[in-house]
Amino acid sequence: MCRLNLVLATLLVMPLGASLDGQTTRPTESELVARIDSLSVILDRADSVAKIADAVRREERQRLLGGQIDTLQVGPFLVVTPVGQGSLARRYFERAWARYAAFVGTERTAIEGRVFLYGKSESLYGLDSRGSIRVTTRYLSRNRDRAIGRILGGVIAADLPEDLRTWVGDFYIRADETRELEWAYRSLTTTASAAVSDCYDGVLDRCWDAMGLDHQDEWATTWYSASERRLVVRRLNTSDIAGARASCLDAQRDDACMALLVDQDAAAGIPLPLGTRMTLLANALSLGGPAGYRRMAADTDASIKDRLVRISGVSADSLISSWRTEVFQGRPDGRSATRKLRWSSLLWLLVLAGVSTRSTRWRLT
Amino acid sequence: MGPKNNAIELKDVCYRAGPSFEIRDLTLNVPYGSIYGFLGPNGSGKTTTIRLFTGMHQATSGEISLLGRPIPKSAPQAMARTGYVPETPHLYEALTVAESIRYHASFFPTWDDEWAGELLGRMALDPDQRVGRLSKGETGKLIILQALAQKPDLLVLDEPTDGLDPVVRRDVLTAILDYVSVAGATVFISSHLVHELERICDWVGVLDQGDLVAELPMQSFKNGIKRIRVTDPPDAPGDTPFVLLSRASTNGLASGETWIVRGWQAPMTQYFEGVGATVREIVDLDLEEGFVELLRSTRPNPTRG
Amino acid sequence: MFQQILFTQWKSVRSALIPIAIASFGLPLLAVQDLALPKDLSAGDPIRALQAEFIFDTWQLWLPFFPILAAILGSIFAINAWSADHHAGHIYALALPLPRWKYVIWKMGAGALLLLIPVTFLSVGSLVAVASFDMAEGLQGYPFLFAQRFLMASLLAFGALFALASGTTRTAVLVMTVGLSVIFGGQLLTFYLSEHILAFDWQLFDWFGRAMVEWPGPFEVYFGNWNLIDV
Repeated sequence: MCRLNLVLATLLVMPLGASLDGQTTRPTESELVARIDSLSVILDRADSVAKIADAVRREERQRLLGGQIDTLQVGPFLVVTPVGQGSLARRYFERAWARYAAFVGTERTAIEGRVFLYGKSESLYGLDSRGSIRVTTRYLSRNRDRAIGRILGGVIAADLPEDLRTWVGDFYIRADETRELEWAYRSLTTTASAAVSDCYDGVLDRCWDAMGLDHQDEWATTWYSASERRLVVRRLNTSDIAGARASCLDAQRDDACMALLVDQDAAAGIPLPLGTRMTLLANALSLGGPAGYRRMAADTDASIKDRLVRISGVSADSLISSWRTEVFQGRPDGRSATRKLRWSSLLWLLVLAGVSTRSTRWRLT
Repeated sequence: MGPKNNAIELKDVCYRAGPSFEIRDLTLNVPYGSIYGFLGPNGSGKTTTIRLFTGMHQATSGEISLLGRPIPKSAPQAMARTGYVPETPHLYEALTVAESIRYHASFFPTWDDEWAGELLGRMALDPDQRVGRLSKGETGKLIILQALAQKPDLLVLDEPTDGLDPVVRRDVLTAILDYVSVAGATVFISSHLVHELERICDWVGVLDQGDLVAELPMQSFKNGIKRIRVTDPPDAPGDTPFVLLSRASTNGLASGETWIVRGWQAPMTQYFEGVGATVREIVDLDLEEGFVELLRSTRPNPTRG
Repeated sequence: MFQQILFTQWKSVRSALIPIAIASFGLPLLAVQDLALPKDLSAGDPIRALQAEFIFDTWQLWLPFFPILAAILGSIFAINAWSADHHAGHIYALALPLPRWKYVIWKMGAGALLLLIPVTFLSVGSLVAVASFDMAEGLQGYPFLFAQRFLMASLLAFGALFALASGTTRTAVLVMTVGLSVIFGGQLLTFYLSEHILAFDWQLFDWFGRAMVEWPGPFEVYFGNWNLIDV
């Protein structure tokens, strides 16, 4: 373990050492102080990496890192991997980081220095922005890009307030933007909620209700009509208090439905699904850019709605309007998809026809 | 390829079908305008030979031409002028007789609708009957009808009357002969029913175990094979003017033998006088007897002179 | 010639065509049979969104049956295209005075043309289906796009099996055996290499599966948007 510490520390320090060699003029006192400060930051980081490695259970460490290691700098992250996996790890992490770089960008100091241990089929995230060690193991699915993208998203969102993380689910931005916007449009059109219907019709304030970000205290009456409440009761599988469920669903008594919903957490009844909510956050981040990201990480006391508005840097109406426009523009276009398919299908048919004509004449025995 | 004198030519053709059967250096010529009988016992390779020159099998070596076209390169062009009647029925069973005729007609520009109708009546086939429901004889007639109505330059018939009753066989052969007499087409007919071919063929080829053991005009074949009863035959025949196919002791005749010869002509009795033997009797063999004796002579361990 | 080839294939497939046509026509209707107003809603409710969700979710339940039907359809027509020839030993086809490739192309064209019959039934069924209930605002029917996708899926299944059936049985068995061996053997090999060689992280199944079902793979049509009813 000591050897690992030394190696890691050396690897981290070496670039700094190189920069000292070129000095010919006598440094000033303040320059020296600054250099010592930066050196100590680097040493701290190396020490943290070493501690992470320590924190990982011995057998996992052996399995993951047994033998020589490589360290890579990918965006703000440090990736430690067994020798030979460096190029693979770099590829995955660079592609995943690209997804977030646009809105994190220069604000990456907030997530600087996060350390990953990557071992092909699994990844361990080790260090948060406060330098505390948090070891999370995630076994990667075969779709490495997606898996690592999700991990990075989780790391980036790790410092977000819990309510924002709960509200948006997996912080995995723009994995497949076209499909996400298509399904957002579908949910806007088909979700059985008075708030969503109004949002679709252009009542911008109601879009916040549809997102579950306004009127949480009276969500059952604000977000849903009486008949829609019956669907919510059915969907939420609420406990049957004194036969209220039957009364709500069969007898269509709204007071019975309300009795069942009144104690439910508003978060459980948010009309629009997680994916659609993610598109709003993504839109806010694209409007706000790196500054928006900084505000997202820093602003922990305000409501989610206010935080989204601050992230975007525009007014609430402008944000919702921008998001709504983006979703409407992302409406599924079956015609162009079918047009593309027609060509590929025709080509494949020609290939298959060509293969068929190769069928042999010499088949009689 | 230059013009050929033969409707079908195989030259040094080799083909192997599995470990136990082989055609080796087969050379066969069917003159234009002839009715060529292709004889051979079951399993001798007759159908295989037909499939070779119709382009359904690929020879491993040798040259094949059909109506002057190289095979298999120009098989479609050659088969456009060839009426083919295979050994086993090959029609689509879901079609009716009329539909089957229409299907076949669509591929042959020389198709004669009027004559097809005439043949349909002559062969007493129900046009609305499904092919799958036809009897063996009716199926055979339909296949012949289709082959004839396309007005081919060459008719290739593989055991066309096999399994047919005598009445149907007669109808079939009559139809073929009528066509040939009018159109002057070449006919290649393969069969193991020797007596049937005897009446209609003017050339004969005999195939045995993949080898062509004889190919000559029918008359020469029939006339040339004789059974001769000989007394006081020589022990060693020496140089004979004829081909001695076999000799055997004659039961009940002291110092007598029966000789089977090929290529016999009358003046050849002088040979026997020269060797001190006496010819008692000269008997003409029919095609079947001659065919049998020929096969016996070409197979391993025949009784030879 | 083509007309007669078409007729022959029609004759041999027509008995199967009846249940196929019924299924193609009936499946869209079956999918929408419950899309009248749900029973537990009162007429006075603002039911627009409620119905839209119900309609869209109900359709999603039936959606998987359509690519399956398309695959079955294509397979039946492909096998049927060659069954008469296989049954008769191919002698008739080989004795015809046309090149083999021409015969194959015409057969393929005939089979593809016959596929239009059940696809037409599906189109009509889809049209009737979307007209048979009140379409919620925001949703619309796409019967022609839907039928186009169905046609493409059927044609691709037809083409693939037609190509396989056009060869000899020996070739088909060889192709299947080699194909499956390469895929399974390749998967075992790449799995082993991935486990033992650090810089290697690739598995054949993943790659092959994605190549088949992601654009421009041949079976992408089976996994795309099969929404007869959509926004």
